Amino acid sequence: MDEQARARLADWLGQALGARLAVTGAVRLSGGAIQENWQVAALVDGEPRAFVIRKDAAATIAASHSREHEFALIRQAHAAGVLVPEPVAFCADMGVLGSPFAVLAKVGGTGFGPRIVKDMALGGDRERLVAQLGAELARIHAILPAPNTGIDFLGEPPADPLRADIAGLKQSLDRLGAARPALEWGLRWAECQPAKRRAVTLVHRDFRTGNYMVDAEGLTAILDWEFAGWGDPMSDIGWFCATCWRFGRTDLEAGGIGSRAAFYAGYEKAGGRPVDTDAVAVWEVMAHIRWAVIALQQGERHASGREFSLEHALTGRIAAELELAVLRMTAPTTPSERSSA
Amino acid sequence: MTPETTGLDLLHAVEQTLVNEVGPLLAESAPSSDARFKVLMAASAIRMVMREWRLRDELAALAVRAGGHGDLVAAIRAGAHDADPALHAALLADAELRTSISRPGAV
Repeated sequence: MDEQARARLADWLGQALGARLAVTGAVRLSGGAIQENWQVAALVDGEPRAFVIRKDAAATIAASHSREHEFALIRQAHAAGVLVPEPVAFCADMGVLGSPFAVLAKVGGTGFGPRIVKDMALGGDRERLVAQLGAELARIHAILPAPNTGIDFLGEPPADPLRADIAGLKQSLDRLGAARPALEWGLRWAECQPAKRRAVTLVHRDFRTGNYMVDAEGLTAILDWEFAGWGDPMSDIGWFCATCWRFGRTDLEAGGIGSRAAFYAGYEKAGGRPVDTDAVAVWEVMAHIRWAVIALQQGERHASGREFSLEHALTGRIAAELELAVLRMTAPTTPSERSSA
Repeated sequence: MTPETTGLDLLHAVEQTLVNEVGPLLAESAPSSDARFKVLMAASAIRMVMREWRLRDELAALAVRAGGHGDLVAAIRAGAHDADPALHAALLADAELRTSISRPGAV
């Protein structure tokens, strides 16, 4: 961020906050294939404050909301009592930083999944941490479709979230021109599971280790709202517990962090619906399929020549192990297994 | 006859140089940059290429057997292979082979 950009940012943010504001530092944060994140230090009426700016990176993947929608979702979650970074202001004016951006209060802690899983000095007591995460998820799921809430852009809630997701993933595979019989096998398996009716709620759709921040005491914020939408609350539980998001600690079924029991208990105690373990199992298969599709999309960004990136190229290769996991979870039962079930 | 360095030997030498020499150097000189991470990613990609090369005959054999993926996708979607143990076994073998290239630890 050059001097002119800092000055434009100071002018705009000062006006947005109705304060005298000087930008004293701006550092690009690592991480985020989709967004560019900046940490900005400022003096606001003489008081030091730290902000995070989220703006679009060069290319974005298909299902990502615009920054404006993400900001509206964080605002809605904040109002519902979810632990998120305080939403400060949104700038739609391309003239300030080149693309629209959101300003959030900076939150302490670290979010890097592999580190959180390994470094026991982080996050406080792990069973308490998964219970806290369960409670946050229950608060997210308490947000229900209603008119004029500021998140109307999410559209009509799907009548059958599982089948809507299956259709969406097939469409993504078709768009990629990717013939992936193993993923199709998994999608067909999910399609054949009995449909269950449940109230549709707001779902985060990327609620997992790596997308929340912790410090030495515990949870500090739930991040990465760009995929949120209306759906089956059990889908978030399946995504969080899916083996592919445990960062090597497959024994700790709740996000590689703690026990499923503590996570479920935290969820139900904070007002979440009773956890439907059959539905969660289906959503865990779906989680592997969805992550595989996202990995293929990332790989395609490199393979298509649109964006050179070794990281994207390698991410595309993750699809193989995810397909293997899907096939292992959906093996056909033999007649003897069926009769003894 | 002078022993010849094969392409695989060369790749192995490049991978070892990145991991044992370039990586530690970057860790020391630029600890906060992501250069070391990128070097380790490059080394990981090289190991993948080496595994893929060693398994090329098995891969080619599977590619023949799984030919016509487009038709297979349509058939799976139409329900023609529901709980089909033969297809499941074939897909499993294919996924195991590809995973043994991309991430052997996950097989």
